[in-house]
Parts: sequence; structure tokens; C-alpha cells
Amino acid sequence: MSDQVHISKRVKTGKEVIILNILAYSFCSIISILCLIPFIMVLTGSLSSEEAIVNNGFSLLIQDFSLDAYKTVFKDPLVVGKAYLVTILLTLGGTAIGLLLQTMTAYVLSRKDFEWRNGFSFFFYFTTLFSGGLVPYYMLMTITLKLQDSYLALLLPMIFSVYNLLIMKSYISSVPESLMDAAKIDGCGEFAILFKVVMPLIKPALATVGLFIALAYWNDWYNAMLYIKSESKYPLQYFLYRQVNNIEGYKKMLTNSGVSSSVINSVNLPTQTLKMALTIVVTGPIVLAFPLVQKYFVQGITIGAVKG
Amino acid sequence: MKKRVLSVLLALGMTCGIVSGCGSQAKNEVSEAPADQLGESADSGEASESDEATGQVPDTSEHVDLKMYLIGDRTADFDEVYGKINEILEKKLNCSLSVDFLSWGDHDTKYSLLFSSQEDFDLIFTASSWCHYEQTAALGGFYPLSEDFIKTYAPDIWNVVPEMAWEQAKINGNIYMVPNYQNEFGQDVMTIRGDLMEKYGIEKITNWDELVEFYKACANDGFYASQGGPNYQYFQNKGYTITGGAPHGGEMILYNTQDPSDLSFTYLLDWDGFADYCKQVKELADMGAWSSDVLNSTEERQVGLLNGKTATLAWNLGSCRNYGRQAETEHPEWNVTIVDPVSSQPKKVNSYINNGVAINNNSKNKERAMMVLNEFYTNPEVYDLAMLGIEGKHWEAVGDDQYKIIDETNYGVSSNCNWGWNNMTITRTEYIENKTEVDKVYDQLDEAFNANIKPDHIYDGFNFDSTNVSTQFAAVEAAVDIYYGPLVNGLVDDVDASIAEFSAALENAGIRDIIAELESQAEAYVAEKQGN
Amino acid sequence: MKNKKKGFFYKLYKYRVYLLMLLPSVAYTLLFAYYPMTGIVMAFKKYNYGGGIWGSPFNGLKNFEFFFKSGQAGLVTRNTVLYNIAFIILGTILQIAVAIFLTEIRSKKFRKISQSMMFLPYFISWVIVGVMAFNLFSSDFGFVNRIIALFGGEKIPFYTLPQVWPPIIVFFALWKGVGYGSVMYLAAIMGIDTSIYEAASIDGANVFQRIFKVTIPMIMPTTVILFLMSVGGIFKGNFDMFYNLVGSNGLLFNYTDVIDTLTNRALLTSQDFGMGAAIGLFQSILCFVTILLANHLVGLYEKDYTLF
Repeated sequence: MSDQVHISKRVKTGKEVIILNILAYSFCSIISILCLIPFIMVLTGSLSSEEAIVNNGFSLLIQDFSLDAYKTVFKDPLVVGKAYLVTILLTLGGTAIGLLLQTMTAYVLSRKDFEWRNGFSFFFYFTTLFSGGLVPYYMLMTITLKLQDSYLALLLPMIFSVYNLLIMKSYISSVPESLMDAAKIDGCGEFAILFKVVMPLIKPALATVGLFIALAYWNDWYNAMLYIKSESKYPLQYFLYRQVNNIEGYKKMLTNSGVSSSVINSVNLPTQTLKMALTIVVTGPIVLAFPLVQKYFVQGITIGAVKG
Repeated sequence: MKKRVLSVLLALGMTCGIVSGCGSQAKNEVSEAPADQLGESADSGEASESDEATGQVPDTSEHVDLKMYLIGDRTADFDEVYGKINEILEKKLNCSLSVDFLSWGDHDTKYSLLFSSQEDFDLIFTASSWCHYEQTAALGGFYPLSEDFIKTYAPDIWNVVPEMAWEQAKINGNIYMVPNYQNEFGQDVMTIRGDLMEKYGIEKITNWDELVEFYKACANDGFYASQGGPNYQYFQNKGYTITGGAPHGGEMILYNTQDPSDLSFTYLLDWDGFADYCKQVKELADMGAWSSDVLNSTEERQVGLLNGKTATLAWNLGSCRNYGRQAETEHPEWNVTIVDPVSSQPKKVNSYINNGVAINNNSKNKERAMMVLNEFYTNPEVYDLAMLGIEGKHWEAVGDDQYKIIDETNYGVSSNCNWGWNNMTITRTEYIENKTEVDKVYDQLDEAFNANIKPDHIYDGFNFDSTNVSTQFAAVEAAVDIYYGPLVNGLVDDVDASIAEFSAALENAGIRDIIAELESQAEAYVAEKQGN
Repeated sequence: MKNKKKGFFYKLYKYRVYLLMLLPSVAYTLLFAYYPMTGIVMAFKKYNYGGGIWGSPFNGLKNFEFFFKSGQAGLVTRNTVLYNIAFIILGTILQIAVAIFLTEIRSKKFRKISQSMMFLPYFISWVIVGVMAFNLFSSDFGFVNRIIALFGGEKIPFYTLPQVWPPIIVFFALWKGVGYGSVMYLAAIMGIDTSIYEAASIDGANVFQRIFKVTIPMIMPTTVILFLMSVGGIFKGNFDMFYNLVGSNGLLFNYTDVIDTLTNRALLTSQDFGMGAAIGLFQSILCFVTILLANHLVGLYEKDYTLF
């Protein structure tokens, strides 16, 4: 600590800067550590034996090292691999299309010379408040559009989100109108303005919203649960969700009924540690990929700053 | 055909010793089955006599593809096994059957979506309370099975399934499922640590007081006795049982099943016994007879016993034996044994609608679907395939009524949702070479249970139909969700205050409307039965 | 009249490119959001499978009766609103603080690592959070109670004490959202023109003044948009979170039951679609009124920040 103060003095910064620095570093450190601890618990939990976890609960250390949970997850590596592939392709495709759709819409809604923008904004926003519920949506997907067991059933429901649209709109609104007007005078069409002038300026927003869309696709299991039947089309999350929830389902049923007891014997799976291992398998790749996205944040932000 | 009937009879004869009470009863009742139960059956008079129906061969000249929904997961060898079943179905009924699964985690959501989206399928697994039977029937999802329909297209099922089972399946006079037929006892027993009983100087546990004594001894020793309050043991010791179709799986309204002449219902909160129970378990909970986490614990029932945290495991006979065996091998020093804490009371056979199969109201081939079900239920070849897998690959026969496992990994015994057509007259039992202590206690208890089946109570076959009071019913369930768990596990601060709050909430929700409706339905039911 | 009509078609022509850009998202919204909204009619029907959405008979306001009759309407609405207010206010403050502090930190490495760590909880599902909470607060093997026991204290039976749950739930909600939420503010701060900061420091502002006079006002549009969006959801409870943290522990419901958990319990026990739709509609109307009000108030303050 004294070192830090010393250095700060040497570069002749004000007292406030030192206070701010101490505040900033300690605040961020505390929060970061709070956020990290449970993750360590998940990691060590996934590497512990089921018995140790059931008896002692979780700790920050590995108890009675065991790879059983991972063995259960990777019992069939080809199937997991396929599920990864489905999820990755879906995430990439969904993010690209979704980003384009949302940016295009947000651009129009933020143009001040478009008199109907409030009406359209309301048209979109209204849908976040009222919904018909699951049954009519399910009927639309399965009966009207016949999307059962199709990849489109995984892609379409999340391709457009009003929430992301509004975030995007607020960013685009911050781009000076004069830039767009100037481009127009230079003879650019609306599409050219969007792609050549606006998009490069809102790279941080594209990265942020892109990340949100990607995470939504990556974490989705619900649509797969509703619409996908063939096991070969399962995305990762649903594949793993089933492993955990089937166990929960068994339990629920067993406490409610007298189903023949031999069923129970086939359910001796690691439950707690399995959940932890699944979490690692599911979130691991995206956690590892996150620094790359972060880099892109920084790039986008600097370019934006220079040009602005 | 002849051969099949013969083997059914043979199997019946062999299991007769075990199920003496019910076997003879089933036979009697088939002959005197009332034909006027279903309004719809009145107009199709031609097939009303069961003997004639059996001889009549329904038209199967057109090939159809049927679809069935089961609960659970497709096991690795499932398609192979059902391929064999399909060969039989093709030959015999000129149809094929494809199966889709609703997994354990999803079926709550997807079951109702299948019906609400009017999907085209024919057969579906169902069960009272835990697998959507009452709700789906009430919303018109299932095809009502008339007596003629069953006799015409599933004559063998009609011959096997006892009258009581059909009676239980009835909702508002209509049968919506083919119930399974196996005698499971509705009363739980306890797998218990023999070493602890010895340590505390407790020789036997046969009634409530001895059970409480053991619980207290455990708590004083700093040991958890169980994974929660033993409310069922208390109710059963008092002779009470749940009323089918009443709120919270029937637990809110009880009747005295041990006394067939007692036709009254007991609303749980009007019963002094409930307050008495709550006070006793509060004392136990405060002493530490179980963890204060029980309401949030997701641990399976057997976990506590197996990992040495609790002294007992309360479950049905079969499960208690299975886990008893496991504990025996893992910890021989525990001296695990099984006790019956309600030994004075005669035993009630569980409801047959705990598993069953229904036909979708939207099905285009209801007749063929029923015929297929008939095969599953009564054709030993199909039955063995569905329950055990392929002979020689997954299991081998020991005599005519037993099996030995060869390889269970890709098609577990009785774990492929074949429970809907459980038929104890042709079910093979497992052949065990070396019996352990637990096995011996199990055999004794099993024998004792079967020798002590209680007389029928007219309400055993009664099922409450909540359609007219659905609003109150839902409101009552909401209140039960809040108050009931803490009370029966003794976790409230003040029992009397909490019961008063619970009672007020239930009154607000309209419990009296439900009781009134239930009583009038029961009265009509009794009048109809006794009128026969 | 004629003029107006001509005006409309004139505008239609004038905005043809904008409208073309809006076409995909408008078509999507009509099909996937407005069309299923017809299902709201179920709130006034006694639903059955034979009749479906349209064929089932009407039953007036009977479905709404349940909600109020259960005596729970007031309680769950209150809980939902109070929790959301806590989430919105504390969450916004925390996320802005994190974003500001992060930008003040000079060490790139520290910033990057710290931000990555804060994002970790976002990747974990609520199921896992529920498991972790149980392992922290259980009286048998909970981490917290183990530490209390270590220091000779008496164990706290968290799962029988309803009053400790509001802070626990708020903590987990903030904890899980801090990384995700701060990204948006971070992007907004990064988007601020550096020349404004330079101008501020030339004017002699110290770092704290710079934060309060420049940074915070500049990220106001983003803050207001996010605030408005959360206000729109003030009557919505995050089912996933409440269910996984509290489960079906009736002892805690007085403090933890929200509209969505109540609906879910009712639907699972009685499969009453009509009732589900009725509560959904009740919720939507409350949300709708709130958002109109909030939007109007924001409009009074600064027209540009409104949603529509």
C-alpha cells in the first residue's frame, strides 16, 4: 500500500486521485473476489466425490478428488461434441442475424426525421408488456409454422428482442445527427449511412448487444425442450439440462408414487457433483471466450473515441 | 390364443397364494359387473355381453401407424426391444407403434402442451396425482372408455383388471384410463439401524409410541432419526387414510379406512389428532430429530440412511428392501433391519390408478390403440419384452414366473415406463440365490402384509371430482403450499397459532365448499353402490 | 381530408427506405408477438382441450376470482414490487459505481481480470445458484454455519427464518447481475467524447467533480432507458431466481412469494390455463400503467429520453 502512495506522489497527482484509486481498487477487488468464490466452489465441487459433498458440503478445496461427475457427463463424447456444434453454430448464426436486424431497426427508430418513429417504438415496446402465454405461442410454432424438430425453432424465437433493440437505440441516438446529414449530402443512401457511418461508431454497442444475444443463444434450453425431439439436434444446454432435471424428475415421482422399486436402482448417479461438472462444461467455453470479446470491446471503444 | 389364455391362467394360479384376497375377488366381480355405469354404452347394445365380445374379431384389415407417449428417457436398446414388439403387433394387429418420450424434467410442461396443441397421438402414460390424470381428464384430453369399448377391443384386460381398479379410475362416472393391476401396499415400513436400536435399548418398533421413543433416543444422541416428520405413520396408526381426489393428494380430507361402517369424512383441521401430531413433532423437531433444512432439502429419501446421517428410511416395502440390502453390504456393522411401525393395523392395497394408460381424445385409431394396449397388458411375450427386454440378451427365464438379470445396462428391468400395464398375474419376479437378513425380514413382512389385508371400505374406490369447485380447490392448494409443510415437520414457532392461521386461510379459500361438494358426491356414490 | 390522405401517401413514399428497413422486424413482431397475443382471451374462458383457445366457453371474470380469493393477491404484489424496487435502485447504483471505478483503474490487466471475474456469476444458472445458496446457509453442512460453529457460535437455521431471506435474495440478484449490468454503463462511459473530459480538467475540475459533473450526466440516457425498462417489469418476478433460492418452503413464503411463483404453483397443481392467463393479464395491465406513467414523467423531464 505504501508503495502505491509513494508512486502516486512521485507522479504528482492530487490527493483526490489517490483516494479515488484506493477506492476503485479495493471496491473492484472485493466485488471480483465475491464473484469468483462461488465459481471456485463449483470447480472444486465438480472434482470432489459425491459422498464428500453430501456429507460435508462445499468448500474452496477439492475434497476426495474424483472424476466421476465428468465421466458421467462425457459418457458419450460424440453426443456432447454434436451438442457443442449445434450450440456454436446456432450462437454464431443467431448473433449475426439478430445484430443486423436489431441495428437496422434501431437505426430507423432513432432517426429524428422519421415522424412515425414513436408509433413504431410503441408498437415494439407494447409486446414486452402483453403476451398470450405459452399455449398460443406453442401452437403458432408447431401447428401454424410446423417448426417442430427444426433448427429454425431454436433460431427464430430469440432472433429479435425489444430489450436489445432499446439498448441499441439509445446508443445510436448518441451518434451526432450531423454526421448522418453530412453523409446524406455526400450522396449516401440510408443503408450506406448505416453500414459505413453509424456501425463503425457504435462498435462498443455492437459488442455489448452481440454478447447479450450470444449468451441468450448459448444458454437456451427452453426452446429445445419445447420443440426438439431428435436427440441429435439437442443443443448443449438442453442436453445437460436433461441430465440434471431427469434426476430431479425421478425424485419427484418417487416421492409421489409407488412405482416399482427396481427403477430406483438405475438412478444412482452423482447428483450434486454432476450439476457442478455440467456447469463447468457449459460455461467453461464461454468463460474462456470472454476475454476475446473483451478485447473487441476495447478495440471498438478506442476507435469510437478517436473518430468521435 | 389358447396357449396365451392358458399361461395367463397358469400365472394366475401361481400367484394366487400371494394375492389370495384380490384374485378371487376379481373373478367374482367380472361376472356381476354393472352394465349401467356409462350413459354412452346404452345405445350400442350389440356388444353388451362380454362373452360374445371376446369371440368377436374387430376389423384390422387396414394397416395403421400408432403413436404412444411414455415418461422418461429412451434407453440404448429401447428401439431394438420395441422392434421385436412391433413384429408381433404387425402380425397380430396389422399396425406399428412408435414411441416418444416426455422426459422426467419436462413432462409437467409438455404433457398439457401435447393436448392443448391438439397433437395427433394415440396412447399416453398417465397416473393419478403425479402424472396428470385428473387434470387432463377434467379438461377433456382423454377418451372416455365405455365398458363395451373395453370388452370389445381389450377383452383380456377386462378379464384381468379387478372391478375396484375400474371404480378408482372413474371420474364423474367415466373411465379415462386403463389402470395397472398390481397389489402395492399403501403403507410404508422403515429400514432402520439395528445397532442404534440396540444402543438405545429399544427392542421393537411396532406402533407410534415406540416410534416416538426411538426418535427421541436418536435426537438425544445427536443423531437424526429421519428426513422429516412421520405424518403418514401417525395417520395410519389412527386408521385414517387419504381421500382420492381431495386437496393436496387427498391429505386434507381423511376417512377411517379400517372401519367400513364409518362413512364420515374427517377434515384434517377439524381433527384433534392433527394438532396433537403437530405438537408431538414440534417437540421432536426442537430436540433435533431431523434437520431444520428439511423443507429445502432435495435429497432423495434413501440418502440420509445410506450415508449414515439418519437412522431410518421410511418407504414402501420394496424400496426398503432394496436400500436395506445396499446398506447391509456397505455397512454390515449397522445391522440394518426393517420394522413396521403400524403393525397393528390391517393393510390397505394402494390405488390401482397410480399407473395407467389413456387414449387421446384426438386419436384417429382409438380401437386399434385399445387392442395394442390389450397385447401389452396380457400377452406374456409382449409383456416380458417391455418389462425385461430381450430374453437371452437382457435376462433369462427361471421357471415360468421368475427371471435372472443378464445385462441391465441398456434396458433396465421395469424402468422403461412399462408400469402403465403392470399386470401382476403375468409379472415375473426376480430370482435371488442367496437371501440376506434383510431379504428374510422382507419375506416375513410381505407374508404378514398379505395375510392381513384390510376389508374393503366403500370409499376405497371413491374419487372426488373437483370440477365444480375448481376455483376453491386451487385456492386451497395455494394455502396448503404455505402452511402444511412447516406444520407436519414441526418447524413452526407456535403450533396453535400456525394451525389457526392455516385454518383461516383454508376457510377463506373455500374449503367448506369443497367438503360439502365431496360429501354430496360421496353420498350419491354410496347410494348408487348400495342400490346395486 | 384529401390533403391529409395525400400527405400519408407522400410520407409513405418519403419514408420508403426506412419502412423497408423496418419490414423484417415489424413482420416478425406481428407474427411472433401480436398473433399469439390473441391467447389473452383465455383469461375469460373456462379452458378445455376439446374447444381449445377459441372453442372453450366464456366464464366472465371467474378466473380472476381465484387470484384474489386465495388471499395472496395483495401479499405477492407487494413482495414483487418491493423486491423489484430494491433490485432497481441498489442494482443501478452498484452497476454504475462498478463501471465508473473500472474506468478509473489505470492498470489494464487489473481492469480486465476484474471485469472478467465480475461476469462469472452471470454465466451460472439459477439452479446452480440455488444449490450454492443451500450449501452456504444449510444448518447441517452450510459454509456459514460451519464458520459460526468454528468460532463457538450457535448455528442459525436460515431455512426456518423468513426475515433473513429478503437480504439474501437481494444479494444474489445484485451479485448475479453486476457484471452484465455494468457492461452497458461501461460502454456508455467509453462512448463519452474525451474532449469533454479534457475541457473539464482545463476548467480545474478534480476527479470527483469530473465523475459527478461529466460522467454521470453523460450516461444519463442509458441509465434512463435501463431504468424505464426495469420499471416496466416492476410487477414481474424472476421465477427462476425465487424458485431456485426458496423452493417450496412454505415457511418463507410471506417474505419471498412473488406473483410468478404463485402462478407457477397454481398452474402445476391445477393446470388451469384460464387462471394462468388471468394472472398474466393482471400483471400486464399493472406493468402497462406503470410504464405509461414512468414514460410520461421522463418525458416531462427530458423529451429525448422517452421510450416512445
